[in-house]
Amino acid sequence: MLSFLRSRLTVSFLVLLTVSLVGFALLRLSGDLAATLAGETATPEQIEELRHSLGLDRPLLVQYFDWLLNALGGNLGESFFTREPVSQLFLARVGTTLTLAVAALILSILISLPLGVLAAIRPNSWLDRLVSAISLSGQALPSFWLALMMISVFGVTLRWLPISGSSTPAHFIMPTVVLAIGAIPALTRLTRSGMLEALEQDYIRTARAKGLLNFQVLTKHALLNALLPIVSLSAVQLGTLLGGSVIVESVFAIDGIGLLTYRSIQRGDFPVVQAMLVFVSTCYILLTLLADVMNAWLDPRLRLK
Amino acid sequence: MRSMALRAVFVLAASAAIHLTSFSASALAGPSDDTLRVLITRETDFIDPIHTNSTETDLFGVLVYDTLIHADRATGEHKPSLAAKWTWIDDRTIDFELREGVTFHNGEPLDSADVVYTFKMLMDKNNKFRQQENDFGNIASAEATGDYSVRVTLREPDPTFENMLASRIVIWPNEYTSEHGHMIHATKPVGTGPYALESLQQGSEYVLKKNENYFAGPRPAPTIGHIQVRVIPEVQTQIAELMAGAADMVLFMSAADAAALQGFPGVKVATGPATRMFFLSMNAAGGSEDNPLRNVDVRRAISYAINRQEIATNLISPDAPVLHSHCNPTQAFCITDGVPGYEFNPEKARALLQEAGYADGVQLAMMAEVSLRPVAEAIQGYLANVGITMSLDTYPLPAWREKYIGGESQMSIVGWGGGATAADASYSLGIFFNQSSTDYAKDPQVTEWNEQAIHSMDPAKREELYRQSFSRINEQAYTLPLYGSVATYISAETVEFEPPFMDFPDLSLAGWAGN
Repeated sequence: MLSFLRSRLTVSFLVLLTVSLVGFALLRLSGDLAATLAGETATPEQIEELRHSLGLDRPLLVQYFDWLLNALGGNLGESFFTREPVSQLFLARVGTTLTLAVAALILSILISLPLGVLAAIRPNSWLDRLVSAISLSGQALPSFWLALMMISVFGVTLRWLPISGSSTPAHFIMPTVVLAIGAIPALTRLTRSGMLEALEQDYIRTARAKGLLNFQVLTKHALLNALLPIVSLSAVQLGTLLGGSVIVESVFAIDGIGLLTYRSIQRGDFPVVQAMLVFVSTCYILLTLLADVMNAWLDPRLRLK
Repeated sequence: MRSMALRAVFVLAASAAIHLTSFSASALAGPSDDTLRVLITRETDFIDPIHTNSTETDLFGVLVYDTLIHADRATGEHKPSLAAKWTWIDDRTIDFELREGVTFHNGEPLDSADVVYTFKMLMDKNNKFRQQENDFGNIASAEATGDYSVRVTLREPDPTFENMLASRIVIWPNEYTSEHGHMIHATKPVGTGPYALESLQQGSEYVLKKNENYFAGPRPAPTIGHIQVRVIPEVQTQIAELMAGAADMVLFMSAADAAALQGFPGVKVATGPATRMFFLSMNAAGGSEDNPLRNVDVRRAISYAINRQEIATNLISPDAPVLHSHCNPTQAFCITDGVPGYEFNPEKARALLQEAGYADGVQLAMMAEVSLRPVAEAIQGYLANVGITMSLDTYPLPAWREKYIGGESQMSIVGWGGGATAADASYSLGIFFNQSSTDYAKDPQVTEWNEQAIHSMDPAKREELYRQSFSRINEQAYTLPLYGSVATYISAETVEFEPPFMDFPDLSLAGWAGN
């Protein structure tokens, strides 16, 4: 188990390093930040001076290693525009985004588990097809469109829910639903296939032969066994939800890290975008690692692969 | 145990229901709770206008702070504000007599020490305010000549300095600022303005409260109790908030989006002048030897070939002005009368191209910022009609700017200026005719006239110099002025607000209809 853990950790660290390097290079190539920062009326000399004072005129690799050393020491730099430490900007907003992502994940599990079980009970029936159709629609609907439709119906026409902001729990309802709808299809499909596989096992036949109620067979025997891959996928989905909240936060004007990233991309605030990129990829990598470790822990065969 | 759990669920459900219903009541915008709810699209880096300059900071700055001189929002006339009187002693020296009895929101009384302190901060390069050198670099000294009198001297004569005094140079309280450091104004700003900051969520929302002790100056006492300004990046969400009655006003919406709101029940759509201008930049001096734009007749042909009225009306707004000279008529000293211009005349364009030896057609390349693609494509169509083939590349703004500043443009659509800092025509001429890499005309005569005008305190002389400058730019067709921006003011019917003389709104002038 230890050697498995060591190899996975090494791979994860290398992936993270690659993501940060590629991200860093792409951000630097996306436009001349010094010109933007210096303002419209700045002369080329003033722009050059600013570029020099920000260290943007040094070779890309030097800039990257400088950033990396600071980042490893916990210093993610300052926003070019607001001069606030990136960690401060980030900490002020991460709670909002995490709340949204966790709420969306819980909601999507609460919906996709029963849907997947229902579909598996009667495979290829109209119920199964209906569940497939619902999942497919969830995957096919772009989140910004869904968000605007919900705003139109529940915010403008019915006036049941607040449209934008994050000041009350009610503000989180629509964004949570929109994010959850994006996560439901994969979870439902996995539940369905896991349940189908479990229901064909010998122990299910035995349980039924013992005269157990169908409900007990489904929940205690089949679902519990099908749950493992679902837990792994949920962990990965959380990473996707954290990264995927950019659009939802922007449409609902929720001041989380998604909106911060969106604004920072718009104006080329490199240190903030770079930190967010590293944060989201770290979450994603850690959650994937966690899922791998959990699987390996529960299924010793995986450790040998 | 089970009954306790049930009770807990019930209480939770009930409190959620109460929460939801209380939201619906409190979110109804308007006079009911005397709060003007305003939506804007972009956040500001700092909310005070000294640290940075943008239309968003101007919006905030004018409410929380005062300037020495006030620009009347109906006429643009400069009026005494924190300075009860100001006198130009010579071309570089101004004496201010301060208004007595004015206090900051924290109770600190205003005197000459505050004004001198603020000017010293503007002069200290270590403070790294945005565009500090451009906007404040000309200030040579500031000294108190009495408890309520201050003398400011400039390095060079600057006829536009009063614009800066009426917009970006707000007055900070010296004791409060020196105690907490100047960055305090980015989070806990204190000024003398008609509204004081009540709460601030950096980047997303601020709430201002009426200053009951606002001094009797050029602006009327504020009437609305609170102003809440929220940042909502998506226009559709802003419109939804307005439709749902949860917002009273939307500012800085594009003219096209605003036009779509015309006729909505309960919504007023007003437009007003803006200082931003758009022009077609042509590389008349650089490029390769065979660059057709070096030929004045080709540039003139292009100017005749484009129907600017159609572009302005159909692609921007029916209210968008077609520009005659290389400036926006909203700006002071934007001279248009007597300056030669170009009407839409494709026949003449074809004839000019023929005379210039381009009867078989011309190949040109345009680059533009991505949001200007519709305008660029329209120009492409007009030019094709007279035999000019124009390729088009669009880029995100920073990438386009990098190329433009690098002198790589053959043709570009340039959007320039906006808000109070662009209030003088010199801003439009600025970097485009100063022999720098952004000067694609490189005409020493135009540069010389502009240089004289920007340092002349004689309005008649300035007018004459600018007339010569704008005339030569048009004669030589160095640029083709396209259209001016339109400022939009979307509001609920319950709000009274007159569009100001330029895109520098003062929300303290807003009131409730019928009051």
